[in-house]
Amino acid sequence: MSEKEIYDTLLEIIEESLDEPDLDFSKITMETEIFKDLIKNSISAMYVALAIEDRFQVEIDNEEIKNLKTVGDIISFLQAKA
Amino acid sequence: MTKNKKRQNHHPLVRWFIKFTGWPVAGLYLRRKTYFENPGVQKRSLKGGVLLVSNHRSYWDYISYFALFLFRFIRPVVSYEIYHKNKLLTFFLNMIGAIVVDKNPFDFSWMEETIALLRKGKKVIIFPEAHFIQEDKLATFHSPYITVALRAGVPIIPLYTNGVYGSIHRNRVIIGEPIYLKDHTNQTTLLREERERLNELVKKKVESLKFQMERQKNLHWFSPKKFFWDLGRALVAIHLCLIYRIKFVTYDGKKRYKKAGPYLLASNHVKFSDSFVLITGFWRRRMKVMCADVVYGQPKPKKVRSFFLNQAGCIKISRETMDLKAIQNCCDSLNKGHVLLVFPEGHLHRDTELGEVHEGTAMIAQRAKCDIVPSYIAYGKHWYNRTRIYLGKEIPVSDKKGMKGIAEMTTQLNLALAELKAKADKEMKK
Repeated sequence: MSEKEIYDTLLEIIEESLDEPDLDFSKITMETEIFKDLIKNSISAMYVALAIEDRFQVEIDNEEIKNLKTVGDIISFLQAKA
Repeated sequence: MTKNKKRQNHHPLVRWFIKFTGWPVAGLYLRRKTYFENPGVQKRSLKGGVLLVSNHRSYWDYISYFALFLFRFIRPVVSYEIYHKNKLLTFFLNMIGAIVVDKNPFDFSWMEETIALLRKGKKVIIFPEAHFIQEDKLATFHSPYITVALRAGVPIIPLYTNGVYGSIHRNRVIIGEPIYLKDHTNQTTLLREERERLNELVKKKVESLKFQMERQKNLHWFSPKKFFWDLGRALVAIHLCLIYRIKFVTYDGKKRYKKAGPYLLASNHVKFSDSFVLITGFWRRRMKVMCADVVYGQPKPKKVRSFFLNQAGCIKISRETMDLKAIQNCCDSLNKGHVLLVFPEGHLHRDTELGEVHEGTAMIAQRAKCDIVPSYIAYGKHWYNRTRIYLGKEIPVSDKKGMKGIAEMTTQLNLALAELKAKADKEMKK
C-alpha cells in the first residue's frame, strides 16, 4: 500500500472509531501525535490501535505501540510490516 | 455446446443399501462432530425441500454431507469436471443423485433441474465458491443459487465444514438456522444488485457459522487439555461453597442462572475473594478472570504466584500501558466459549459506593460480540450469612459502531450495577 492509501485508511479508522464530530481532519499531518493530540481517552486509543491491527492485518506488540507516536511513525511501521 | 450429462439411475434399494452401510463407515473414518447454530431450537431432521449452502474444501465434502443425515439423501450440485474425475467418484455421485453443472455460462439446465427437485421436497446442497478453497477465508460466492431458492420457494440452510478429513482431528460441521429469502426481499424476479445483496447475506452467515463452531467446540464438559483446570475449579468450588453458601438472585426470579455460550460477567469489586466467589457460583462454566498486573507482584511478577494465577485462568492486564495483547487474549478466550470475569471498576472499592465503570469491559464485549451480564456480590453482615450474587439482565452488543457503541454499553452497565446495588441494599435492610 502506498503512503497516501495508508494515510487515508488511518483517517477513515479514526473517523469511524471516535465519537468526536468536531474533529478537524484537515489539521492532521504526518507530525500529528495520534495518541496524544487526537485521542485523549486511553480506551479510545486502544480501540483505534486494535482497529488498525484489524484493518491492516498486522499485530502490534505492546512494546512497538510505545514507539508509534506520530501519524508518520504509524505509516512507516505499517509499510515495514506489509 | 453442452456436454453429455447422461447419468445412470440406481435402484432405490441399491441407494439405501449403500447409504446404510456407508453411513457408519463414513462416521467412523471422518469422526464427524455436528453442531447447531441454535442448539436448543434446531433439530437434525429436515422437512420438505431445502437448499443447503456450504463452503467447499475437498471431494470429501460430498461424503461428509452424504453421512450427515441418516434418512436423507442430500444431492450435491457438482461441476462436470468433478463428476468425471474418476469412475468411483462418478458412481458415488450418481448414487446420491448429484446434479451436474456445465460451467458453460449459457447452460442453465441445472437450475431448472434443481428447482424441480426442491419443489418435490428433495434436499440439494450447493457449494457457491465453485471450487475447493483450502484457506480459512471464504472465496467469492456465486449468486445463482439465490434465484434457485427463491423460485423454488425453499429456505436456505447454511452449513460450514472445517474440511478436516481422515486425520487425528475430527471433521466438524455446523448447521445454521434456515434463511427464508422472502423475509429479506419483496421482489420475486431479482435484479443483479438485489441478488448480490442476498448472496452477501448468506456468505456472512456461513462465515459467522465458522466463528460459532469455534466457540461451541470448547464447550464440551470434558476436555483432556483442561483437565487440571477443571479439577482445580471443582476442588475450589467444593470447599468454598461451604464457606460462602452462595445464593443467586436473578432478574427473572429463577434460582439458577443458565446462559449458554460466552459472555462477560461484570461484577462489583469489594474484596480479593470476589473472583473466588464467582468462580464457585459459576462452577459449571470455565471462567477466565481479567487480573491486573499488580496482583502478579510488583515491581516484577512473582514466579510461583504467576504460575498459580495462570493455571487458575487469569489473564494479566497492565493498567499503565496500552495492553493490546491482553485485550486480544480476552477476546480469544471468549471466542473459545469461556466466560470472562471482569471488574469494570478497575480497583477494589471497599466502601459502600460503587466506583466508576470503565469502558474497557464494553470494548471487549463489542470486539468479541458477546453480551455483558452485570453482577453484584453482596456479602452477609455475619460469617453465617449467605453470600448473594445478584444478576441483572444481559446487556447486548450495541448496534452503534466505534466509541459511540462502547459509551452506550458502559452507560447501560453503570445503570444495571447501580440497580442491582439498590436491590441488594434494600434486601439487606429487611
